[in-house]
Amino acid sequence: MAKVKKFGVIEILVIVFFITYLSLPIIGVLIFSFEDKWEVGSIFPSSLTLKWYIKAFTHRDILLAMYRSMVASSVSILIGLLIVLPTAYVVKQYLKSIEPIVRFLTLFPYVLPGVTLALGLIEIYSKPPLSIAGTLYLLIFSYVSISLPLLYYTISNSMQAIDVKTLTEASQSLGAGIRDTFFRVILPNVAPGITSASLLTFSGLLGEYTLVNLLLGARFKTLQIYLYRAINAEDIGANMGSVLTILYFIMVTIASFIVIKIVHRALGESEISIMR
Amino acid sequence: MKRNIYLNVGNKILPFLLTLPFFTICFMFLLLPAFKLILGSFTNLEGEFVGFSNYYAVLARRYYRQAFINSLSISFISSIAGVIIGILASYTLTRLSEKYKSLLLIFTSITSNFAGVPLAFGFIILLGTNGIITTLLMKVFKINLYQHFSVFSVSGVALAYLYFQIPLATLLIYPSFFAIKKEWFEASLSLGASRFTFWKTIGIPILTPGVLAAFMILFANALGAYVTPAALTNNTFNIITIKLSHFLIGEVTPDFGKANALAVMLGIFMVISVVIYQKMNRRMSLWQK
Repeated sequence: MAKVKKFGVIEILVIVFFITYLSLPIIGVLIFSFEDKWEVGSIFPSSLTLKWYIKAFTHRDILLAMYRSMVASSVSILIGLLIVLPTAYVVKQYLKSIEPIVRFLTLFPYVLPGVTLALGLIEIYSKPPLSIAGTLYLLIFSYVSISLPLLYYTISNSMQAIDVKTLTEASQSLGAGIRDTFFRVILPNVAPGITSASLLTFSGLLGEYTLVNLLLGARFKTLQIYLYRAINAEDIGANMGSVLTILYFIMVTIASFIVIKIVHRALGESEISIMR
Repeated sequence: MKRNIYLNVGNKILPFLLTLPFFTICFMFLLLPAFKLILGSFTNLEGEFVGFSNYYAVLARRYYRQAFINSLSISFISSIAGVIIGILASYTLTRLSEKYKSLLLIFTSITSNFAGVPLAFGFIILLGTNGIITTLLMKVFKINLYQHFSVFSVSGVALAYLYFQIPLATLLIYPSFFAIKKEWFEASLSLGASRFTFWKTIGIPILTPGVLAAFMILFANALGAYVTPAALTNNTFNIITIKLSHFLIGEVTPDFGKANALAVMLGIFMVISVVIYQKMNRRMSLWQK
């Protein structure tokens, strides 16, 4: 007779520790974003205010920074999708043999963390003929290249899941050409995968600091650059920094929820699959 | 019907052309930098080939040796701790009901987004010299945290590393627990095996590749971490990634030869981690059919 242990003390302790450890920094920043007066030596602020939030939404620099972050991320994702979608489809459908090479390439960014990649990029692109170092082009293209693993992996798996081969055969046997097949049959079916991939990448790029800072210095002030400076009380100051942090965190949380909804719907009632 | 459903060998040109953008971007912005780093590590400022002298110069300086030791140790320790907590959390997850399981998984994946500057912010607010926890410990428990700890030095940075390792570890290890079917557990108990025997002969062998794979990812992740330690210590913490950033932020006259050597040495550890990860992954797929 199998005896299943009851949910014991250890399990509860683990969960409490887990949730506490992971929530505390977030709660800390949240409190600080409402801080009005906080005496040295008191555990919590003595009075709270919404003024930082109001200031944030009317502060020109901050709005510009958010705009820059979102545009840079969106543009990179668009380019990334334009590149990955045909590639994933074509590799699955017609060029199966080069799939290992493609998979290898998508692993590459993991071997080149931010700083290393920035170093290599600056060395190559500081000199003619391709002196795009210090320009937005380099940033966008490097964003595209670091997004490729996630985009390719997600979309490729999605295409696998919807059985691209059969769909293509069916569509072509009914008389559709390649273009029609791709745009009117395949794409709509991969749409959830595309949305998930885009949202995950969007979150990731919104949080990207290394490349922006090392490739462009303080010239392209994204959200993360402002956050970094806010820690040292430069520019917008620490309170606004925490507001920005919360706003950023809300954005990526919403994105995560949408992804989870999509995945849930795609999998029906079965387990949530972990998309990392 | 003479319709060609499959493109035959002769007509692979168009498909191949469609993959060109992908390969071009990969080549220009991933492969080329990597080559440049490797080749450049063997040249000096004038561009002449100098063999391994950059590597010797880097390893000869205590400064860089210490940075390597720091990078490797903080990565190793945070990964081990992460894996342990990940295992505990994953095991606990398997014992939860569906509803709480998904809630916790969602919570885990959301908090993993908080890494980077936000995390540094949070840690300073909590554990800084006037932080919430620091003040709490002082006022309520009369403990002076800053006698043996500082959020701006190793102890604080290590805790910050742990913060982003825990969710990653949990999300990576949890699927491995999945592979252990409840039926196997019940079957082995009904055959007379003890709990301990089950875990020793079935449970742990199944989990091991997954745990090792997770460790490799955590290790590589920690090795490459830059933003969190940089934000916490204002870019002064002595680890390889921050040292590399100094070459680019102009505090040091850029001797790219040495920078490249540093980067390549870091890269070697990453490659080793990824290779071991791949091996473990392959072994894991045996159990996931």
